[in-house]
Amino acid sequence: MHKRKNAEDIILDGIIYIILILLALATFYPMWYVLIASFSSGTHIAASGGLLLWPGDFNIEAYKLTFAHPLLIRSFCNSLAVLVLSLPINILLTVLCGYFMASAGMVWKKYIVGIIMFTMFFSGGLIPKFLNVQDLGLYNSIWALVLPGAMSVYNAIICKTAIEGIPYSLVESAYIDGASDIAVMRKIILPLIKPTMAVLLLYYGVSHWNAWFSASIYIKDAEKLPIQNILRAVLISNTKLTESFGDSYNAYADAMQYAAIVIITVPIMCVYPFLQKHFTKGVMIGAVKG
Amino acid sequence: MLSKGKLKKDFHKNKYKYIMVIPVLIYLFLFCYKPMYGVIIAFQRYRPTLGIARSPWVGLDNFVRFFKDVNFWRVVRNTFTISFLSILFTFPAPILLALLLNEVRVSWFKRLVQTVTYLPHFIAMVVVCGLVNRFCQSDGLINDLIAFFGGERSNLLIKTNMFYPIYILSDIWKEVGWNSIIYLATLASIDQEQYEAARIDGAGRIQQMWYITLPGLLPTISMLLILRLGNILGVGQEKILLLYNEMTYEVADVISTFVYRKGLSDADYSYSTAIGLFDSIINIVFLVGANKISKKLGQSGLF
Amino acid sequence: MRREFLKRIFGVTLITALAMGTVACGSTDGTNTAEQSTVNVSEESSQTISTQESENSEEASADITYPLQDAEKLTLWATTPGIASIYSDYTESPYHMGLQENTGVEVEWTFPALGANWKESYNLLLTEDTLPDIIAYSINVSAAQLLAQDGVIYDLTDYIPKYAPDYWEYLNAEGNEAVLKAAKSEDGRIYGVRTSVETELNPTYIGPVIRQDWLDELNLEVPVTLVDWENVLVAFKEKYNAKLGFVKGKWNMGIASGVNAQAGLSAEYYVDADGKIQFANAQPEWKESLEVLHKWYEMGLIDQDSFTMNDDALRTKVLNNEIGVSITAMSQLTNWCLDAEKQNPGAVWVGMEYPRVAAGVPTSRIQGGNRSGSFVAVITKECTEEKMITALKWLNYGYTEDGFMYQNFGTEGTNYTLDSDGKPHWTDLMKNDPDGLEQAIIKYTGTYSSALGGIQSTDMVLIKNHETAAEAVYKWAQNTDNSKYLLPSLAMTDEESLVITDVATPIKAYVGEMALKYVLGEASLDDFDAFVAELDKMGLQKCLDAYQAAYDRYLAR
Repeated sequence: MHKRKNAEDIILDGIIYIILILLALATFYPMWYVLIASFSSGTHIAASGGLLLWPGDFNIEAYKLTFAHPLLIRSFCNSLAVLVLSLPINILLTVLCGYFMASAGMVWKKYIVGIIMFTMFFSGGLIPKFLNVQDLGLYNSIWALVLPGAMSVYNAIICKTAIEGIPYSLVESAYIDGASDIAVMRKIILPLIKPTMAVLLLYYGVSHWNAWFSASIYIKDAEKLPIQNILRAVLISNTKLTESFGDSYNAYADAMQYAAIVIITVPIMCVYPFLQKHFTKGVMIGAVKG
Repeated sequence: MLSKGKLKKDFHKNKYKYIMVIPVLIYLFLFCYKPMYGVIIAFQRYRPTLGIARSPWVGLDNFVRFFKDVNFWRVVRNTFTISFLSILFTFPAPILLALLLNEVRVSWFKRLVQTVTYLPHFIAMVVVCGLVNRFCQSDGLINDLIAFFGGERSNLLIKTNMFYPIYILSDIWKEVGWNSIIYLATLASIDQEQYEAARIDGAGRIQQMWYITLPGLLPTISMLLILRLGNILGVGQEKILLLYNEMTYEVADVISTFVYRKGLSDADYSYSTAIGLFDSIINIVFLVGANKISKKLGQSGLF
Repeated sequence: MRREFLKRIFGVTLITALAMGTVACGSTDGTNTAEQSTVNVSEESSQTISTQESENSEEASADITYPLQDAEKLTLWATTPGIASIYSDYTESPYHMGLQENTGVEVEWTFPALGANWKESYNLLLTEDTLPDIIAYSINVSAAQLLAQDGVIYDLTDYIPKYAPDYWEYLNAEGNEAVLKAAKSEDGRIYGVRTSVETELNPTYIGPVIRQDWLDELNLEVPVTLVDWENVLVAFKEKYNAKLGFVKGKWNMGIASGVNAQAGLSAEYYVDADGKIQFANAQPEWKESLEVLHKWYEMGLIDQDSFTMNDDALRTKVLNNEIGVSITAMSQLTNWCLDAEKQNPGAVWVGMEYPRVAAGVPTSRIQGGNRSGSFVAVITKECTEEKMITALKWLNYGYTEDGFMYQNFGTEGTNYTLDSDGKPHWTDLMKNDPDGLEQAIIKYTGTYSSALGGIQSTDMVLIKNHETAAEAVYKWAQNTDNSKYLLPSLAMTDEESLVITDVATPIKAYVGEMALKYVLGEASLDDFDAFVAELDKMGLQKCLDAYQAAYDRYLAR
């Protein structure tokens, strides 16, 4: 049966493979460029035009300089701090919210769910949100990056769907055994929704790590900015990273930008393979019911 | 009717559920509902030094100003255009990729392509736009290619007719692999016997793709499409802020970026809030509409 | 010696001023330059002030001695003078710490975040519950007036003669009438300590530059008219594939003077020969200037990245021989000359005059302004009166002789020495700084681009830059009618200010966009009439009326 490889098949395969190879190359090249550029000197980057296939004068100077750059290091730590503070809060609120929405039989459920869902459709908008952050005294503090986005209702729905996917008989029998909600949560629900929680961690983590917008509004002091905002200044506004570091720095100014990109992107890319096996399952659950 | 006794019983029985949802409600109150109160500055001429209490009221002036604004049509048009283009191109791209990958029998190759294409999802928007910036300069990579094929070098970032291609292509580049994961997962659940049966009936691979694979994806596609339609004004504001410039405002300036500039650059807080409110209202209309369609199509609806 | 030198500044100033402009500051980019502002004081209020002066004269003449004793700590938000980027905060910066030592006042400095737009940062600052004691930014007098009305900042009118005697003396010095006018609001009050510049050469810090070596090779004269410019550009393109390249923020007036226009690529108001306020961008001359630019753009004479690149990117292009003609700032010209000496021997940049309609005809508008800067330091109501007085005394320091020298040149002996003519010279410490002279100036001095009260020295600007740049600035300022057309900075009533926000701001944005569209050919100049009609529809007349009213009051003084 499988041997029937006719001309049509071969042509079709050819086309598919060519498209996919081109796509993979087009996707891969910019990343490769960044990686290579981070190991090259400024003159090599400039001389090569846009086309860099291999580091011309391989060196790790740019990484040394990047790790010695006070602003980059500090902002890197700020980003980490946001992540460490946010994730527990995110997961806690999301699971609580998901659990409530997945439970049945509460008289007030309809209203409370309404209150929760309404925030998906309507928000105060940029300025009112900003004034609110001011008002709560969070302005220019790391909490302004942690608290306003502490929970995403969308993610709570994913969590809710996952909980609903647990066979009700399990929960019911626990209740019959006299378990409280907290015990049910701890002993039955949490262990069973681990894959979903992994996915949620990834969602929240990626969004915090890559965020720049709130910090650009809520943070005033340069030393409190997360790394993405520094990169934005460097890559988008073309602010020089190394203005005053003398000639040796200038030779690697470009490479340093790329090194910084590599340093902040690689960790998060590396997390994914560990979560991958949960991921397909988790994302499905989320998608089945939006 | 809810009797007092019933409420008491309900609270007794579901005490912990209620207690557990309290932190969520506190959060929503502080960070979602409290700012909604701030929306009233849309009806004021707000001055931060006076605060909401002392700022003068102006009724609907700010809305009238927006409708008369020379940029009104432009931002509305651009918002819809960008949204429409992304539904037209960015949305089907992962479906195509999934279909193509599904045809690949060499598993290492399939995995490789998948891995390479999902990686950009993790690259921050700032970095993606920074790279786009670099590559589109008149001495950047893309121009090197254009020049190689005999074309004229030009700065692509200042050309109004290049903004949409740049926007859409970089979107596809970043998300196509990632968004295809869900379709591939759906494909994995299609019954293999169907293909077997089709082959016996002499169906070619394109026919199989058309009659088995695609219908298998349809529920997922329609659901995601409805979700997308419900968020029609949700264009990538952050991305546009990073990519646009004065030369491309004509095609790139959308409602949310206009809100941003009016509010933060011009400090016209009330005006900015009024435009934001307009944006929110349109968005709700579309959401409710999408929900209705979804229910009509027999889906469970978004809410 | 030093007295001699300082007399020039604190005594009679040679060049009289019409009004207003922005402070010459090499490091600010276009987006951060300030709105215009001015002053108009009724006769009545000026009398009040002079009475106060005589009342206070006894105390006023008593100089404040620095360092101040037992001064309270102050907090300050300022855009500049910034910290050299090798330091992580102000406590490491020699200038900021030296200032603390000299004045005896401990100051906690905060600045806008890296890469942040200054204007946005300032707007956000005002929404905060707790403000710093001093805010130093480009705040026009009308805005300051509003802040005072809202109870946010102090009205300093009654305090300045006594607690900022040197500033007061400067404002009232002969030749500084316009500076005094610019410091006062519509109701004749003074809300802050302004930054000034020593002479009108300071604001003319941007102008045309050209590759002299290429002109020589091609046997071409330095271009005068726009036709000459075009010939040179074509020749440069053919021979060297080099173009006209610039940074949009530094284009300000651009080539407007070549066709008697009054605006570059952005919105501009001016006073016409009949004393009427006009909108430069609605005039046929402006259209003509855009036609020229569009033509050059189509001919490929303009580097396309000019509209998006910054100074660093341009500098790279210049070094790579991609640019033959430019309009740039003294500090950049300095960089280019130094780069050429080090890495591209043979390349010779020189400054040239702004283009003219014909040789010998004065230029209509050039980059330039008045000696009164737009930057001002205001004191907020976070301060008690006592603290406010400390802050005012501290701000006065920039106007004392010691303060002037410190702000501009640093510490005598360490950073500069005076020669027998009383002219300052940098010491070797400055000249041999590993990060270059420009960074050394940021490390040790304050007025290089200061928002804090003080006077920017012309000598400082001349000796901090390459001699080519110092020569260029005289060429740029040569034979110009700039001051005839220059709008004095006008103090607005609250109502007029409202018109400016509601009408002038959108018009400004609209004009900025349209100008680029015309140059790039995204819009056709055949539709210029429609453009003007659109301006009218947006309420241009209301703006002109507001400006006219403010201007008439200004003249009525």
